Amino acid sequence: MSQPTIIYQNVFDGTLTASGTATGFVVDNIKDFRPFTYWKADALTATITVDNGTAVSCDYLLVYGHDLNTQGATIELRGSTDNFSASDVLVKTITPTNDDNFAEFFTASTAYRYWRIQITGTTVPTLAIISAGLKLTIPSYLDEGFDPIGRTPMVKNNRSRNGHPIGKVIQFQEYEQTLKFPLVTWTWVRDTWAPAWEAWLKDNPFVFVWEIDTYSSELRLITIDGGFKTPHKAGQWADLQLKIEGVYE
Amino acid sequence: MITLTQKNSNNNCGVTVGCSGRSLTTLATGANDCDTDSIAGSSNTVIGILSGETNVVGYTISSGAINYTSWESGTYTVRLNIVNTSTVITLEEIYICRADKDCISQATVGSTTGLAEDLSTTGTRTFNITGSSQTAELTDRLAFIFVFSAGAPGGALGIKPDQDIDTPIIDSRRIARETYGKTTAQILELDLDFCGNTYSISPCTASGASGTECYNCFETCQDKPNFTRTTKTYRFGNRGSIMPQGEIIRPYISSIKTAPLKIDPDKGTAARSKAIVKLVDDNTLDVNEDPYYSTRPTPASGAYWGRFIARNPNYAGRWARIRKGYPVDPWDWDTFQDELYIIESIKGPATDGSVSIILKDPLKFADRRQIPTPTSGKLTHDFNTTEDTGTAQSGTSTTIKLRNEASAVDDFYNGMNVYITGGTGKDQERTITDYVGATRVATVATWDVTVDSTSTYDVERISITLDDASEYSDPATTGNQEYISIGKEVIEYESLSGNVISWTTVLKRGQFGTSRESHKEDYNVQQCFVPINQPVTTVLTDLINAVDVADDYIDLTGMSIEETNWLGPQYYITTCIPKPVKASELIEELCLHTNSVLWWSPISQKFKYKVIGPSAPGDRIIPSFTDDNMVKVTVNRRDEKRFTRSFMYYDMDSVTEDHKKPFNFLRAIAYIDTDAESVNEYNEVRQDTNNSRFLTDVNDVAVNSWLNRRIAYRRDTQSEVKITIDPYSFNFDVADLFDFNSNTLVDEAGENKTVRVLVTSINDMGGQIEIEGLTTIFGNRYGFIAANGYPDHGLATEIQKQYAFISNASGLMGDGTDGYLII
Repeated sequence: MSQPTIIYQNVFDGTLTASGTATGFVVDNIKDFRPFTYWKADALTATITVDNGTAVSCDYLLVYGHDLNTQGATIELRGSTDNFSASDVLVKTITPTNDDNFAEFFTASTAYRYWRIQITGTTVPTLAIISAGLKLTIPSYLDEGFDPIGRTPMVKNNRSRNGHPIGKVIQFQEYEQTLKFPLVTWTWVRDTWAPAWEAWLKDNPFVFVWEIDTYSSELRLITIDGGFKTPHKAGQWADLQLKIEGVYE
Repeated sequence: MITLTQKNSNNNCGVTVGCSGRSLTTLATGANDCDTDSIAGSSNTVIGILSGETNVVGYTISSGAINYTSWESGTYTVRLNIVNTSTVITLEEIYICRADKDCISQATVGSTTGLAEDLSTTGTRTFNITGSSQTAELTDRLAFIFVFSAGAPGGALGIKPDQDIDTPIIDSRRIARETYGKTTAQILELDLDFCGNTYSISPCTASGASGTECYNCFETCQDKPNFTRTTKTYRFGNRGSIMPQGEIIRPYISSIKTAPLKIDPDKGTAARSKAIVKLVDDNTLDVNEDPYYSTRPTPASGAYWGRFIARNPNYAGRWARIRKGYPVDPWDWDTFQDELYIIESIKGPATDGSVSIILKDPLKFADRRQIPTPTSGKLTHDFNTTEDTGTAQSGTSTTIKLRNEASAVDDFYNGMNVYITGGTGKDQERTITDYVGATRVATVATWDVTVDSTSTYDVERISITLDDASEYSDPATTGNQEYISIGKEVIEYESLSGNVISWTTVLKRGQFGTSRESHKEDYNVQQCFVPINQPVTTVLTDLINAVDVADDYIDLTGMSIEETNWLGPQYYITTCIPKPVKASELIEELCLHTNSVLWWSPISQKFKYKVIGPSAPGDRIIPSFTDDNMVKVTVNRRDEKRFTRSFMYYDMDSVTEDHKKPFNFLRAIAYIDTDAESVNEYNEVRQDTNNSRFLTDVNDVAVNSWLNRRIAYRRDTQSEVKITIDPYSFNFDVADLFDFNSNTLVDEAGENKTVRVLVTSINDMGGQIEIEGLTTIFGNRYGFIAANGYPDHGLATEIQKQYAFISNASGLMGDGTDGYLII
């Protein structure tokens, strides 16, 4: 069983260079963590390349909001030391079997200055979010009571005046949880969690993966409702508590 | 799959439609409608064809009846019911055409030729024709063209337009709507101005440094003379709703509150629909909004709405749509229905960055605008009742010698008309071509009767000069009789040349009951709004056009049907609106006094018009609501709206007098229901008084009819019915009728009573539909004369029973139901 993970750090958060972009789309849309803005290439094979200035590491690839399977496309993550002149290393290749959102965790991180997303296939897909970088692994398992698939439909249930059901209309299904990670170290809270909070988590959406090994499709694009709490526990420990909300997709 | 039904009516395209070179324009006698309302025709179409010639029968659907943009490919099953045969006529070709709303051919969907189908026996012929997929406009039409030919000696064929035509077009909205469990989504679209140019590329001459470009909106434009106005559509969706892959729809909508339009037979127009859309803010990147994002040295600061409003301050009056639908997988926009509004205002951003966008219906244009449009021209000279008046000193066959007090200036009266008001030569009028001041002799064209010293006269101007007459209509251009008002006088003019407005006879002054008056230099001259013997619907269309709403946004076909069915020549309008009045006030008055309502239908995206009356046969099948398919019901009695006598004052003495005061009208008719006022009924008098600027002496019959119907409609207390239904049952529009049967409205024996309700308001809230209506007297059977060939009552279909049948002596039909009334 894997530990809960947060995905937000993204090597593609810099200045992106696309091989070509279809009219009406902008490449920067892939890095905004918004599932309603898209990038679409003008032709395949298509690439998005970023120069991070120095070597930066990746140990995951996330694709959220895509139609790679419908369009019969393959996505690759590639690294290079010389802007793909002589150095062009395939880090990960994925040909999705459906259009579900997915994240792939690598067995080990790998570092390059230049990173590239390459799309191959015949029909150009649209992509909402692509992220690759170092994941934030919570050094604790979720406390009991966590519900990975519970959802609350925003629903209008219509029954006739005579009591018979005549229709049901759903607007969307909400995913809302209070996460509690017991007994994380104060060192981790201060050195890892708090900087991540300030850098991104406090005011941006991110992806939460509760158990990648067994339930890889159960990843949620969420925001934190309010702040977080870290009540002290005996010794060098604390409990990390936060409330998350998003859409169950 | 959408099924169409052939009909007798011929309202959709008439003979103008066709494709592949085959149309009904020349020989057709068989242009019919077919539509989605399942009401088949009953009268036969008879076509005659000469030997060796062809003839065509066609069926065309209403614009918007399909209301989908993606027409599926597949098999069209086309049927033709032959009731009168011919041994020499054969069916040769069938064409399926896609035409636009104006009936102009767009594509041939499918065809079959070389049929040589024998028509010597009666019965239905069925043909399966493959049709291609079509990318259509929502308003596009389908047309089915049948081409016949005849051998010697020619003949006639009878076709009954009562068959269904099956199309492969999937009624995806209906399917989604009727699914028990369904998802809903609402999308707001704003159409705002956007420059079609690229910065610094011709025709744009702006030349700022990279990073200082505009945002392609007028507010930030650096070369405003070359701003090329196009439209950019901004799209927003409900938070959490499913949205289509690849389309940027920002999920910022936190709520949509709608106050739907509500038609009111007491007012003539509907209460304006209104929607308030609240949207949250987002500190998003500017990449999709700023065309020059990549050149900016630093990313735009702030959040979405602050930037949006700063760049688009001229949003008011621009179009907006609320699209309501049922998302399905794969995504299908055809499950959505659009409501069209104009942007009224944007409130915010609030402290949290959120904004509220207020949308209203385009009837708001009529609230803001005045008719006639104010004109600002001023007289450049005094303009008197007469320039001289008196008794002639003498006359010859071509002269008149004016009184001694007339002007001593030569040519002073040149170009004016002298009118003989009494004595010898009375009622003659001539234009003065020369005037000698010393002798007071004016030269005119030869008199029919030479004037003399008994002749009294008026000398009057027949033209005026304005400081600027560019705002006035030229009768030569409009082809209409044109009028101006100065002070309290209305004048018809016949010519506009430069700044000179002129007429040919002094009798053109003092029109519409007004009197000649003296007017001073600098007095305002106002163009009048003057319909002359025009149908009500033409006047309404003119009023709507006058507030800059084009015909595309008016249901002209529906208006024409209402005009034909319910109004006609006794309602033709002749009046003059001499000074600017709020356009909506005029529309309301005209509708009210013709027992009709006009409203903006956000769904049809047109102004619609309906005379308050029973549902005409063939209109549609009346839906029925009972306690089995209603979620909530409220019934409120409207005692305060009842009255027992109604007065109409009409035919204004002078159109420039106060129309709100009855003594300014020449005619009045009253209708009093003495039974309703009797002690055994309501035992009170309730009076309703109306003054009409539009109706005159030629409308006496209309006024009588109006009063009669008004009392019949209002002598008893109406009930206001509010029901809530699941979207499953929602398939009608405002001003339609439905039958209501609930234990909230029972008869004297306590049994549920079925009443017919006029739909006054529909509020589609996504999960539920709220409907308001007024009970009517239209639940009775009103007799409409049916076409030949109808069966007896016992054999008639429910649709056929909407026409009149003769009852037995007890006033009952054969099945024991009530007989028909005649209106």
